Order: sequence, then structure tokens, then C-alpha cells
Amino acid sequence: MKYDKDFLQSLNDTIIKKALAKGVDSVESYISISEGINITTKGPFIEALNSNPTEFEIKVAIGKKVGIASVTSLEERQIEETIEKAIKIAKIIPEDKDFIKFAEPIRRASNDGIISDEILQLSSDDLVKMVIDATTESKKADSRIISSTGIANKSYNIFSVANSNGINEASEGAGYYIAVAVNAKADVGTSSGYEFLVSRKKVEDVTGLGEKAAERALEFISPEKLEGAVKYPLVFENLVFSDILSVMMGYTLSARHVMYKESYYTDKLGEMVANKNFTLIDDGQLPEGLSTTKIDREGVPRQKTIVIDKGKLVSFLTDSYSAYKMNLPLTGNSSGNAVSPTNFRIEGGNKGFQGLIESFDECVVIKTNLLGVGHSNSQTGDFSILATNPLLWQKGELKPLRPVTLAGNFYKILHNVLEVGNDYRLLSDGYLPSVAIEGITISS
Amino acid sequence: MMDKLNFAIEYSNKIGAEFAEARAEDASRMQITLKDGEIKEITMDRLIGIGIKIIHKGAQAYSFTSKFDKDSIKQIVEQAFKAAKVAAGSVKVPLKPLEYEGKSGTYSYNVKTHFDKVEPEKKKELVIRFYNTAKDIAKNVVQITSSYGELFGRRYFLNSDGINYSLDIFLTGLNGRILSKVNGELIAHGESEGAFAGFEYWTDVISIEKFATEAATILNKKQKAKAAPAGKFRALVENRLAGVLAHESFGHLTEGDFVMSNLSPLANKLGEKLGSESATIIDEGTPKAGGFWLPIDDEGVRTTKTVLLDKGVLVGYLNSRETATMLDKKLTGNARAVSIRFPPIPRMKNTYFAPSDLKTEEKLELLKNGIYAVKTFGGQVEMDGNFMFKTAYAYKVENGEITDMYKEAILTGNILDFLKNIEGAFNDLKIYTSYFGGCGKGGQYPLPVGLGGPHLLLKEVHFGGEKT
Repeated sequence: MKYDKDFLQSLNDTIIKKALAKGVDSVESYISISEGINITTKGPFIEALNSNPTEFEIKVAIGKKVGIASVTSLEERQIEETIEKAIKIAKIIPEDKDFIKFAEPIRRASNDGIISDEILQLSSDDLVKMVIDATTESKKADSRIISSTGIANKSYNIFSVANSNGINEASEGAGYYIAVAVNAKADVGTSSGYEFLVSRKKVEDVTGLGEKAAERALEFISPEKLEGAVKYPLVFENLVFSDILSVMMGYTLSARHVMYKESYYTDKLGEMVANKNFTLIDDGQLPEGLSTTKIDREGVPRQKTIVIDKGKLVSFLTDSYSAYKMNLPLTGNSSGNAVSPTNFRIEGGNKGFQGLIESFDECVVIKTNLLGVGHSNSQTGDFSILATNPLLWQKGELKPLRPVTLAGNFYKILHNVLEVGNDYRLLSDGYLPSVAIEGITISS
Repeated sequence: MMDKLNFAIEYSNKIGAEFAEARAEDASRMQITLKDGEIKEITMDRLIGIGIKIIHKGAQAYSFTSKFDKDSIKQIVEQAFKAAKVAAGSVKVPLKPLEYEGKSGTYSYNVKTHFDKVEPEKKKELVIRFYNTAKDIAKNVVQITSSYGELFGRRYFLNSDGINYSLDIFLTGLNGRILSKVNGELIAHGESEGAFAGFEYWTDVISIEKFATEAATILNKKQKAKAAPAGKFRALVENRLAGVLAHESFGHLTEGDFVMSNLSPLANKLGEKLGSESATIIDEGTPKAGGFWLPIDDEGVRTTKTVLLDKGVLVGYLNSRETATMLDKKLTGNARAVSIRFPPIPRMKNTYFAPSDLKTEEKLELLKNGIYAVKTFGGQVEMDGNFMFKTAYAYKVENGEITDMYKEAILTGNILDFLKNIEGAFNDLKIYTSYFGGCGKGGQYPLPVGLGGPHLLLKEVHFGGEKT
């Protein structure tokens, strides 16, 4: 299951030499091998997918002319052809004045995230059992559950990056997740709910997962209509807030976007971009974080970067292209030809999800199912999203509501963060708590 | 390539797999991006591989590799067979491909100018021409990005029934996006063109200058536009937005796997009247009006013109061979895989609202008072039919005339209500496809599809509004 880092690094070494011998000035090579098992149940059917993708990508520079080519194979002939393609591009592409150089090695200790043997050893049989147990449990939870589908997935990845400046590193990671989605018969139509667990630490017990998914769907079978457009405070459960946070912040903190003035935070470094309740960290070294690796996609060590400190914008996330051009530190956030966050963390307060809700006389609570987050405008911050499962907290009671639209500007409402919870949950976007915020228009 | 597939199938039979399907793919992409007035990036990618799907004792497993030697092929066949056997232990209802009379053949698409025969210089020119035109017209510009993309390749197929084919793919697209800043507010607009075609699309069909002028002109207008109001309005929906609605909010609900697992609210509703007389939705493999060319699917089933909703009545689902066995026994040719890395699952082909006899030149007059929603930056739906779509822009129409422009507006609601509210369809059917974008499902993204429709007239649509 596990691959040898030395093998990848030595292959990269050969590739670098080969490309340099062809007369390019500098070169960067990336090799990746993944292995995964995915089990899906759809109604009565069950499907297994074994995946074993490989990727080779090469960047070559002739002066300031950079060519990039890739292939989904590590066979010698394919590697050879791909190097030639990259060189061909470098010969025809105009000079890029913004390209300074490929990443230089830097001294900074960094580590791979947790790698669990228990997870590595998960077999198809184990995953089938997990997903069957969880979906069966959800169906048994209540007679109103009319459908249940599940996915169990385990994946492993190893990659190596080398360049002609002396970087030659490798990193590996593994994790698994299991998710259940259910539909329940509602007063009108159906209502849906889901629950999941994800980990790279250990294999968790799936008991309760199916029931929780069912519970989420059943909570919304008799929704009431919210009249008019109102501005109640909102409490977002951890797993929902992370969606919008990663879409918006993933874009606007990227130094590449700042460089081209496409980020809302262009020229805002050092300014207050949120209120004092809000501290945001990109933690590429969180041991259990799903995006934690020793190095980024160009071999730069990952790190923990505070980006917003008590409301003040203190750092952007960079790759070598943007860092060298803008004279910023290398934060280890390259994802190839873009900058991406790793694991976001928001500094928490001292209340749980329920505590946050109870701190208000009235508020709207968003637990799951936001539609349109991916289509929010991350350049301007404007969003208008549909919360299909909202709840109204009033007179000490939570009542389900029919879908509501939430509209506002994400970057502006960060000045209205009322309180951050302490109910951290591990998600694909990071390790995040629930958040209470105001200033969002809620309309039905 | 067929000899490799043959070997995979023979080996599957030898080790005792009940049914096997082998696919191979060789696809090349090129993408060129311009930013800051300069070509910033040219990338070339190639995807190659071979995959095997095995159905054994009612369970399905899939495995793939990018190596074509016999040992690697043997390894994926064994891996898939083993996984199918494991999954078979938990099968309640066995999966079974519907029997069919497949048609072997070579499905070639004739392009006038193959991408391979065009110098990169000519391709670079496209993004530069977009920039040159847009920068002169657009006001308060912060950044202009334009991207060109092309994809060409061939897919190969062979199954245990002996059906084999090879199929061409040619896709291209150009995206242009302009970002501006007015009084500290960022305002953006983008336009996109694309087709299933060779490079001739850019020399013979599309005027880049016209396309860039449109993008810049709309942006300038958006800089002065107001936010759309929230509430319920009579509405006119433009072709591209109608297409996204047909695809996202209705098409997905007719996909056989969602129907069969009861996830779709359209399960067990064949024959029911769900929409108005003017609501007809079709999914087709090779529509005359354009779109994505798909004569055969990834299970070797010839694609059909599948009527899903006929004058408001639900009449069909989109099937793979497996879901057809479970559902209505109709093979529609909708088993599709985004690449060799995945097995085919029920997906759409070209999904569109059917046109009718309302004259497009009378559309504003017929709307009279309401909102004219144009194009879209996409949207999202849930399996219960709830949807949210963002229009690229919209117009306020009063007494049959455009009186104001709105920036991005949001349409929300449930598709079943939306279908009931369709008052009429116009006579201007258009179907779109592009290298950029695509459909996502079950981790398989971006699958190229076509979508479209005529203009649609709606009695009432709920608009979310940016602000109130």
C-alpha cells in the first residue's frame, strides 16, 4: 500500500537532469501516486471503485518563459514526451515578467500529518460493512425515512517535488470518510439530511452516524414560513460555516489574486478586515488536518500562518510565483499553478453550538444544506445563498422554517462576528467551530 | 487499443467474472490563459488509461490503470473482480445490465480543422483578441482574464457481449472575464463561448470581437445597475438560463440511480402531471440544434432523444443498462463516465426545454411587467427539488419595455412549482456546450454536457435578491 519516497525522489532527480540536459534554464518536476477504495450504496445496489491514479507534471523555464505539461502516467515514454511538450511551450510562450524563479529551498522544519496504519489497512470488506451498517441504521431510525445512500472512502497519496534549485522532497498522507444521506417523507414533498465522519487518525465507530443523518432530515418535515425579509442574528453550525469561509477566504487570501488586484483584500494588508472576535489561521501542520502535508506542491515546507489576527489582516497565502514577485514570505500554499489554503482554523470562544444559540432571544440557525455557496462572488464577497434547512430560535424553542435566502457581503459581515464557538469539528476545509454573526438579510 | 481491451475481457472471462466492460481513453487538453494583458500560462495535459467494470453476483466494481502492459491489465481485472465479490456479499437486489442489441462501430466526428494542425500562435491570438477589444470598451477595469481551452481524443469500448466501438471527442471554449472597480465596489462580468467542434469554430463561426464587445458592454451597464429586488415576479427566462434549469433542477432528478434509490422526488411518478402544458423537457444525444455530440454512451448503448417531461407529464427517466432493468426497461444511452478514472453512471446528454410557437420577437410584450433574467453563473439544487440559480444579470420590464438593469439576481424555489408556472415557451431553441464548465456528480467532474432551451415565460418566480 505505501510507496517508497526514495523511489519517487530518485525518479524526480533523473527527470530534472534529463530536462536540464535538453537545454532549459530551470525545471520543476512533480510526481504523484494515489490509491483509493470507494464503496457507494444507492438504494439496493452497491458499487466499488478502486482507483490508482498517477500524475507527472513538469514546468520548464527558458529565461522568463515557462512551459507546463502533464500526463497521467509514469511510464518512461510518456515522461519523455511530456518533457518535450513543456519545452515546446516554453519556446513559444511570451516572457512572463512576473515569473522570478522556481522555489528555492528554505530551512523550516515541517512534518507529514498523522498516518494511521489502521486506516491504511482498511479493506473493501471493512468499508462495505461500514457503509451498510450506517445506511441500515438510518433506515431503521424512523419509518418516515424513504431513502438512504452511503459512501465509504479510503485514500492514500504520496507525491514528490524536485527542482533545479535543489529542492527534492516527498510527502504522503492517508485518510478515510464515511457519509450517509437520507430523504424523509415531509408534510409537503421530502426533506433531506446528511451526516459524515472523516479522519486520518484512526478508524472510528460508525454507530450513531445513520441515526444522526435521519434526525437531521426529520427535524424539517413540518417547516413554517418566515414572513418577509428580516435581519436576525444567525448561528451557523460548524460544518456549514466552513463551506462559505473556504470559498471566500480561499480566493481572497491568495497572493496570486492580490497580485492581479482580483482580491477584495488587495491593498488591505495591516487593516482591520474583521472585528476583534475573528482570528483566522491557515494551518498546514495540524497533525489531523486533511490537507496537512510536509511540503506544498512545489516542495516548500508547509507552516501555520495566522492570516487574520483579532480582525487585522496580517498575511496572505503565497506560492513562489506570488511571493517572489511581491516580496512576501513563502507560506507553503502552492497547489500547482494556484495558491490554496490548507486547513482553516478560527480561534474559538467558550460556548458550544447550543450555547451560541441560547445567547440570543431570537436568531436563525443554519445547520446543513446551503445551496449556491460555490456560486458566490468571491471577488466582491457578495453572496446570496439558499438555506434549505433553517431553524428559528424563539422563546426558547427551535422551529424548522421553509427555505430562506441569505444575502450579504461576506467580507463586510466579518466585522459583525458576534461570537465564535468552541465546538471544533474536523472538516475537509479545516478544523472549525460554529459561528454567530449578524448583518445578513434573511428572506423567504 | 482494441487488443488491450480484448485481453482485459478475455482475462475477466477466464477468471470467472460474470460480466465485464473494458474502456480505454486517450485525451489531450491544451489551455491558454491571459491576464494583465499578457499570456500567463500555456498548459498541455494528456490523460490515458484503461479501466474495467465487472458485475459479478449482482455487485459492481471498477478499477483502472494508466499502464497498458498485460500484467497491469491483469492486475486491475483481478482487483475489480475481488472487490465485486466482496460487495456481492451485501447485495440485496442484484444489479443486472438490461439485455440489448448493441451496435459496434467507429463513431468519427469530422472536424474541418483539427486542433493538432493549428499553430499555438493562432490559439494565443484568440485570448489576445478578446483582451484587446474588451480593454478598449470596458470602463474602470481592474483585470481582464481570458482563457482558451481545447480537448480532443478518442474513447474505446468492448464488453462481454462483444459490443465494441471507438468514439471521437472535440471540445473547445473561450472564457472572458472582466473585473472592474467603481466607488470601491468590485463589479465583474464574464461571457463564454464554446462548441463540440474543431478549431474552425473560431475562424468560421464566432467573432471574438463581437463576443468581447458584448462582455464589456454588459459590464459597463452592470456598473450602473441596481441590486435585484427580492420577492415574487412574473418572469422571462433566457435560453442559457432555461438550459441550466432544465439540467440542474430537473434533469438530475430523472437520473435512474437517484430514481431507483428513491432519492429523487420523481420516483414512482411516471405518468403524473407535474408541469404546465408548455413544459416539455428533452435529453438527446445528437440534437440538430447543436450541443455536445454523443451518439453512443459508455456502456455501448446508442443514445436516444429521450422525452422526460411531455407537456407537463413525466414520461421518462435517464438510464444506464442497470437502472433500466430496475425502472422502465428503456435504454436511453445515459451511462457516462467523466474519464477512464471512473465507471459510467446515469448522467445527462443534452438537456433542454422544447421550443414552442411563441414568437421570440414578442417576448417582452408578452412578459409585459416583470423581470427578464439573462444567462447564469450557475446554481445548485437539492434532491428534493429546491434550487438556487444566479443570473448573470437581469432587466426590469415595464409595459413590455426594458426600463432598468439589475446586477446578478437570484432565482430560488422548487422545480415542481417552477414547472407549473411556465406559461409559454418561445420558438428560439439554442443548445450550448463548452470545453469550460461541465456537470458534476459523484466526484465525476467536469463531464461535458449540452444544455439549453428557448426563452420561457413564467407566471411567477421567486427572486432572492442581493440585498433588500
